[in-house]
Amino acid sequence: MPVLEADSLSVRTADGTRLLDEVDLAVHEDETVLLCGGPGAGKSLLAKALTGVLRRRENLEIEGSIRRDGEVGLVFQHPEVQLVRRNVRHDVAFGLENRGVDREAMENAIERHAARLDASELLDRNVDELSRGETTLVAILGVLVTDPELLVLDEPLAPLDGYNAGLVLDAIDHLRSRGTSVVIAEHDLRDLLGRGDRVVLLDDGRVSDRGDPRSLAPALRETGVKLPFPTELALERGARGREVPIGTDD
Amino acid sequence: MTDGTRVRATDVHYAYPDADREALAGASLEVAAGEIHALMGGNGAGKTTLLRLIAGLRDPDAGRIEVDGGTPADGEPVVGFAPENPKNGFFAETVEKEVAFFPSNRGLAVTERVEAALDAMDVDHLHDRMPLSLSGGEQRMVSIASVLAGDPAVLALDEPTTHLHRHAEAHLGSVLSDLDRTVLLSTHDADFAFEFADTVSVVQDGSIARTGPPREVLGDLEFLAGAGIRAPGIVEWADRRGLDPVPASIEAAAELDVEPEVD
Repeated sequence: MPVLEADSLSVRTADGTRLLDEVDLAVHEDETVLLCGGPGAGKSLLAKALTGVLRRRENLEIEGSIRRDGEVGLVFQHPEVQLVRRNVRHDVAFGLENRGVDREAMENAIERHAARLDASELLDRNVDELSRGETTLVAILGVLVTDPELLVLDEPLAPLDGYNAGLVLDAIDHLRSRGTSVVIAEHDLRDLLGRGDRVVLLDDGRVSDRGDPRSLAPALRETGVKLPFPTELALERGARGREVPIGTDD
Repeated sequence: MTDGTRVRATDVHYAYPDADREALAGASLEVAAGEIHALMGGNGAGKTTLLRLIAGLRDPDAGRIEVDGGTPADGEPVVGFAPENPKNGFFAETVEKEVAFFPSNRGLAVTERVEAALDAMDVDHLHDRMPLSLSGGEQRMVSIASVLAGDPAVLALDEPTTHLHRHAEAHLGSVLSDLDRTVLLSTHDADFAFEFADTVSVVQDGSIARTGPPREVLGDLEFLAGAGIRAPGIVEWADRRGLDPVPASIEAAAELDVEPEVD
């Protein structure tokens, strides 16, 4: 049973420019889907469309249907824009307050999820004191406390150094281990290819290919998606199918 | 400066207003004329601040910055700065007008400079588009084109590979390598620096911890781990196999008689 199902999803600007064209996409329980493509392919737009935030954009026309089974959370490409309060604990509480959760349950949820993300020590910090990776981590935490069935991450690793990328990758691993479905829009899969169950490749707003990471690796390389070095090397040597490694430690 | 050094920062200190520590705490750096010099380091190490000071966007609290012997505030020669988030630099309604701003301000042949810059960055097809409507990767190329169009002596590029896919990144590296000018850039992408930089400087806690050729600096895995820098993929791969020296490129690695890996 999919937690999200998009049928013939199209997005056009008011002047008719096609940004997404008849995209069909189902995300299943406990599944990590990587949305990939070159510049302007539409992966970031599709990520936002899946969560419903585009409905508020008056200059876009949206056609098709999206069925969501439960909460869907989004972490933006620039996650600092979604931190709305000065103190991390108060910021993380925002979504729960909006849902009318009582204070004790709210505190418990925040402490529990922060501990699981290894982010407890961030709770009493101010948001403007956070590193970039910590900012992404707090944005993930703010969504995670609402117990979403699906979390959508838009280029979560782009501006991060090794340490901060590690924080976010650990958070992604935690989400996957607890059974949360995850959609990640990314053009850089050097740390993510081995974490994906399925890859959806976009080209000019359309789905051009889809499949498991190993079988799609040649198409990803062709498109210019960054892959782990062992994957790139195997493809350079002409390897295909089961011969293609997808992790970084092969 | 007649010793081939185009940019020289000497014991530079800078603190942002209300900050409880210095962003730059005695940073010294020399950038040779015509080289691609990559500044690397963890988030918050001081890379962007150093670029901004060299571009003349802020003045140091102490220490000295010289570009061709003059300070950036002298006006010439020009350092062109492209911000990490291209949106922060965009103001015009079309790509053409955006890219025309810098050469127009410098009294250059605007049409020629705009066409050459858009062509060099492979974004001439975006001529009439609105910069803010472009994808992240397209915005990056337009942002650099808008700096290139001004014909600066030094290009200061803050995280230019962010949001670029591999082909665009390789194209950017090759365009920068072919330019007859000095490029100082910050990046987290060790793969890019390993392939395209002539020199790598690592910024740590507001000063330069190490400077050298990419193979030397980015080949030291222990040092990189301490500096919060993810090593180039080819270096990690060679290290796991005990290969020394590290192959220069993926093509060179593919030629080696090493067992392919399967997971």
